[in-house]
Amino acid sequence: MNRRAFLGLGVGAGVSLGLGLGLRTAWAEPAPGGGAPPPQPRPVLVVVLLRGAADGLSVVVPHGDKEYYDLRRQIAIARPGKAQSAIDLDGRFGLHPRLAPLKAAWDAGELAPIVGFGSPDPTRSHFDAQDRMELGTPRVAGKAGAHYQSGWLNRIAGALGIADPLGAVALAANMPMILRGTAPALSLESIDDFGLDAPAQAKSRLEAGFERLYAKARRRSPRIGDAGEVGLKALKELRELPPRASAARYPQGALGDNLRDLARLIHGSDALRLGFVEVGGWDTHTGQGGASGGRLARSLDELGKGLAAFREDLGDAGSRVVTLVMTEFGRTAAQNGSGGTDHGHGSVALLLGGPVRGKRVLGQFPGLKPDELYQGRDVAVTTDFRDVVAEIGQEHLGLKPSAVFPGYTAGGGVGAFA
Amino acid sequence: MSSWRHATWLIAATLTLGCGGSASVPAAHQVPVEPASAQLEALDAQAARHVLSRFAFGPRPGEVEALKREGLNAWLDRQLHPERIADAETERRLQPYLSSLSPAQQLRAFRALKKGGTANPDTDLPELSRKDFRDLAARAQLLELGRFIESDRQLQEVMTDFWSNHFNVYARKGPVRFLTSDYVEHTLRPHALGKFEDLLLATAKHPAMLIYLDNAKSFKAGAPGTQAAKRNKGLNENYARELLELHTLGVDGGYTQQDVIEVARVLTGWSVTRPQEDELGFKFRARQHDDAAKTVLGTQFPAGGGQAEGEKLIRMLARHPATARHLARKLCARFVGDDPPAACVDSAAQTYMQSQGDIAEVVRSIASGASFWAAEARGSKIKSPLELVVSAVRAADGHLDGGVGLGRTLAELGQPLFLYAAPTGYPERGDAWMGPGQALSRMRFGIQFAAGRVDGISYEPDRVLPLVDDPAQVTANIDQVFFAGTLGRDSASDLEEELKGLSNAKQLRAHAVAFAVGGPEFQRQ
Repeated sequence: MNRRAFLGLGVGAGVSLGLGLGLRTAWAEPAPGGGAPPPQPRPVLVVVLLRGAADGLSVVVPHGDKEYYDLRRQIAIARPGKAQSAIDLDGRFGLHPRLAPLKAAWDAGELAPIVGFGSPDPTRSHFDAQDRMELGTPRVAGKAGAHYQSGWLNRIAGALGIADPLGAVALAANMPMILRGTAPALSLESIDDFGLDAPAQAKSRLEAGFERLYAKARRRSPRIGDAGEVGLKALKELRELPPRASAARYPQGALGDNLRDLARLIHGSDALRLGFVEVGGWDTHTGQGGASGGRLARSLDELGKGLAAFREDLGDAGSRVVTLVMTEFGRTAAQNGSGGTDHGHGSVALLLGGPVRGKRVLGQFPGLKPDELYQGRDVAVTTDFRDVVAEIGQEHLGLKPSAVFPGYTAGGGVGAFA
Repeated sequence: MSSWRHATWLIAATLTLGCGGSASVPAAHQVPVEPASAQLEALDAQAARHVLSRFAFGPRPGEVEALKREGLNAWLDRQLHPERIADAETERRLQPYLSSLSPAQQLRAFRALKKGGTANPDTDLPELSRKDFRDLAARAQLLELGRFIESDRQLQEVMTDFWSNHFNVYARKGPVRFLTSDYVEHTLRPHALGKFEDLLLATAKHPAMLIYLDNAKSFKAGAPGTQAAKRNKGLNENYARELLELHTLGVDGGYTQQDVIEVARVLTGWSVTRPQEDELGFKFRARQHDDAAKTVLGTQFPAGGGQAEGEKLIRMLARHPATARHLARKLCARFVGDDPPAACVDSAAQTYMQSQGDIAEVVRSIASGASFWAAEARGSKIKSPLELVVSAVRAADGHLDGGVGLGRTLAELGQPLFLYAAPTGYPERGDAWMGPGQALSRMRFGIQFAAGRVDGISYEPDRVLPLVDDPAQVTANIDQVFFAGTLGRDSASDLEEELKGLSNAKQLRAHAVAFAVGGPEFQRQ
């Protein structure tokens, strides 16, 4: 049996797995000329989730603390001034040397690390902690817990009244928990690969057919029907997205690709309000390494370059974009027996962007003395992630905290915008 | 069976009732399983397709009719004893994907390649290029996917898929990439329907797991001043934690951080052989092992227990009532619904304890339970990308065709095999698999499938879907092939509507297949 004989759809031999080929062709057509006024720029929030528990003590190094060097004889980042040492921020804390690309943001007052950041939930399970961080449902001893069914970024989407399928976008193959919920949201692996990859002559018929089939299916299976409808709507809008040649040098890999796509969406579509990017590889039980050579240095190299390129790429648009980089929990204060660190508790977050009043280390460092450590082994949490999210919601997006975490009384926040 | 072992199980079986939530607590040996539905021996097409959508990767042509004739119990009896089902044809079809090189040989060749091809200690080994290694990885994926598609031992394959997520390993961690096939072929599949404690022990000793979750690098904490302390080798909690949280008790299973540490201590020394000398396998390294006394979940492990105390610990965890509930919940979520009814979980947990962790018995109790047969269970689950791909190939009576690109298709759908980094494995819940971007990928797959452009598999459209130029007839044929005639009037007329105006029979068929496989109804099971 000659399989090509069955094609019927008329796929020529020249068309292989070139996904999104049709999209690129569509972009080559002249964009519709317009006399419409440019849309009012609106604030954007981007969340970068480091999955696998990033070691906060290596990201923002407490180089002023003697205990830090006692706990980590092999993997500590040296005090500023030596080769391959921490980049001093304020005399007490420093950035990992591989985060050097972020120094420019710090100097410009657009970077504020938050120390002692994390979830009050005691779990040391990745999946439990990630789920609870994304839903906003940490368990706190003695307090009734929330039982949200949706992720908090999706609740923000709902509170912002997002209806456009490009309003809340995760650059991820699968829809992350943080964006699951009733508000429309999109997950896509890459803009260029998003499409039906249908042969030209059958494309419009297939697209229209699927659109009707999924719309009708909502009666029987709302989740499936919705997903198909929103996906096809997003496809149409992405087709209108102007191409963009960026001079910013993103690092190779998914993180750089995802941030590049996100910048393109921010520049090209006034619809985008919420972005999400995830990056794994932070679970450094072994071979964590120090300033260079280990697994953590490699991951931070990509993160630093990626965030710096994103900032450069955003250019003026960066004045309305806040990026929150966070992780589900931190790692043990002491190194373990394999030159790595095990699951811990508190970590750090990074707040970036024009609206942030940066060049300050925010939050309260809980200290590394034995009696200061959480359960005698981990960095404690002094800033609840919900308070920071609520603060961003209120100060940057104009939302009431109760819209994001109903039933939770947010603390004072960290004064990131004050 | 030793009396000790029997006694442990009886005590545990009694314990499990305490957390089972049943109002009345009958004696352990009298606990009834969930009442079975009366219709089991007279299945209609809908019921038969329901069975084959959950306990198999969807029907091949004729299998719904065969199951109706055979009845559920006879079908289950065969499927729960896969060794009774001849499967030589599958083995023949999988031949092209087997590697003649053992994992250790692959690893040595890989290291030689990285060093520039000069240090290969196996002079009889061929030199492998980077492309060869990519090909090896692609074939390893085809080997697993191929059995899902080809094997008549479908329930064993469904369970192999289940366990490969429950006991997830990640191919990008060190030498694990060379071990995934061995892990699935020799550890997960042979025990997939056996005793859970044998499966658990086999995974605990497999080098893929020992490397993935770092237990091979976990040492007894060195006394100050010793070599070990100077080299800073010591305890690594990674495997111990996931063993308790994911593999056995569950995150709410009642263990503490101290239990995690004690489990890690018990398992120090569980390590792997050196690949430069041996095949990759389990090796207990006594010098690495912490020989002092430990206490796990209140049970004492006296000093000097050696390797045996680790085996005792693993069997103890397998027999724990929390493990019964954790597994029961996950299995009910797989077979019945994302939020399984308590009756299913209670019954499966009880069967687990009564049968001493016999996976086949637990699966049987779920299959014959009322929860599985409830109307709301039908079509309530969203297929994972893997289930979508395999069920489409089976429905069209397709087979492997020697190509090695099917793994890439799965990656494009968001589920690359052996490449889920976190130890949880791929999610079971449908909401993880059905967002707008994912729906679009599924439509794209439907179009590729209809065009015969899915690398690695082929089917014969003229045989399964004869050319006709009448949209109503094409719709009826599609209903038979992809839905076993259960599509229903609404969905069928929706599909027929989209085919009107296409007069060319080939175009008609291609559009119909694309709409069927990429459309909303085929995403459910």
